[in-house]
Amino acid sequence: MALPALMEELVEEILLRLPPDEPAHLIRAGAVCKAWRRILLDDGGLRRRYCRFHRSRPLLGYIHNVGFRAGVQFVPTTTLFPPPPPPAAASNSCRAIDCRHGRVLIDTSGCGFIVWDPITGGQHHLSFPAHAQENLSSFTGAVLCAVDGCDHLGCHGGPFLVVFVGGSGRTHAVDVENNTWASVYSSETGAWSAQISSINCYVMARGPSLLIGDVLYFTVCSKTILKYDLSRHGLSRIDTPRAPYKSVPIDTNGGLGLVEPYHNCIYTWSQQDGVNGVGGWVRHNVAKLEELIPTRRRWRYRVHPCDVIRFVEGTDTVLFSLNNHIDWGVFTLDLKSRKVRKVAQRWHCHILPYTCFYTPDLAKCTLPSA
Amino acid sequence: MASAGSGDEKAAAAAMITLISSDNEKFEVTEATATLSQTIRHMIEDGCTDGGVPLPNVTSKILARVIEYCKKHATAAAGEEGSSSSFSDAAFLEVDRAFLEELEEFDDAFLEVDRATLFDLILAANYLDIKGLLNLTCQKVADSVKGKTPEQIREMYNIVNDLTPEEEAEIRRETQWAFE
Repeated sequence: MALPALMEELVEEILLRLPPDEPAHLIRAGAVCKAWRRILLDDGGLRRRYCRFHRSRPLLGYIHNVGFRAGVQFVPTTTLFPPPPPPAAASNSCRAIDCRHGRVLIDTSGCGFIVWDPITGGQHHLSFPAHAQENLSSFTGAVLCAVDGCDHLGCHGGPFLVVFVGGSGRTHAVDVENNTWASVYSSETGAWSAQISSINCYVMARGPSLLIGDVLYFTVCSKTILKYDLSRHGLSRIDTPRAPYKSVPIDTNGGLGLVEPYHNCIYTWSQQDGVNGVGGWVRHNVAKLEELIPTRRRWRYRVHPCDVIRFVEGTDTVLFSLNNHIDWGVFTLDLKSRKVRKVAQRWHCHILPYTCFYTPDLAKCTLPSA
Repeated sequence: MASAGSGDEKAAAAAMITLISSDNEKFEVTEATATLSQTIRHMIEDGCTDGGVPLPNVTSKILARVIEYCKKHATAAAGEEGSSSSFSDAAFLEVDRAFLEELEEFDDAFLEVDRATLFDLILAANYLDIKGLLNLTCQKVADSVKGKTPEQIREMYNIVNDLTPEEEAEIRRETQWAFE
């Protein structure tokens, strides 16, 4: 059967439509012939169009904190070969504490950070801000792309910021002054900013952070989310209805919400406008675990004390691990369609979702320059 | 866009356009159907459609299919406009949903063609600048490519492998995981 030849621009239209949730599709298409390969490696041109066409970064895997002195690991949820972590992060008691815009923020035993790009293998070492050396009892942090106006769909290797939130308090007793401050590191200047706006808030938990627009939200302690405004350089606190051990912040169409596993259900919380501008939190039932993950057994699902839930930024998806007598593993749940997919057979407790558009031109970057 | 507006616009929507395929077959279509093609819309706007629109790149067989697609989707577009004024009305939403489902079924059935026809439809959709049809047909090819090996893709679409053995070896070395 003779097929009419397609112009390269039409082959590009076809390749654009290969789904991004499995990077092997594009890699294999790049091995079909010279023309297809040329289109896919076109100096970032196709990559930019591909990212814009699909709009939200697909989940490629998650970063797993293996445990004490076992380091950080990339667990793919696709066929992608797990990129090796930086040697320093594999052997020490390092912990990944945040992950955003293709980069992972790794705490190297409480004295500095590695910002690691698992896809390109790029890494950047930085020490804690100088003023963190005194009287620091706990801290948390976040990493993000520093480019103004970036859509964050395909940013790799560009300048980044690290936001450090440190606290001197050692208890959350109400009558104790807990001095909590922020400082921002810019990879462009290679320096930390001065201490920013100290407030009285106890930093205890190191839960995941969430970026909505120019605002970072940190889960820090019992029923408190710390808000850091990147454009106004200000810290403030938001009271939440739940402790941050289980519930994590989510983006509800640009507003701050929460998601939590509780007993045998997954709930979300949204903020509603209240009287005199003081809003309340409203709980919504997403689904019962029995309905999400059907089982023939009669027992009810119950959330294990170590189960975690993580929001996949830029999507409507959460990643959650489940460890009980009915099923175990890591799952994704689309909060809107309620579709569940098992993405790992093993149960992993300390996880951070990793999203990225993996295109063949990016695969080239991972090669050592011989 | 013609809508339920003035009488002139209604008259324009009912106006007929003659399309002439490469093998000289003539097709009479309404302007609403023809203007799903941006190429033809521009010709109408420029007043170059008297005596028919010659389409030297499209055979009668493919043009007939393209017109079938445009007729269905022009009706859909008109339906959407008609119901948008009563958006809050649940009954209309229900009708819209049923119509969209019907349209999806139509698209699925429309794509049940051999690969040569599918490629011809892509070329025609591109030449006539019909975004919906280009999206539909390219997505169909993309869906058939995903999950296939490079060898299977070449076989399906008669593509000659002109990569050198060194290039192939390099690709496999860089991204072996994608081929396992």
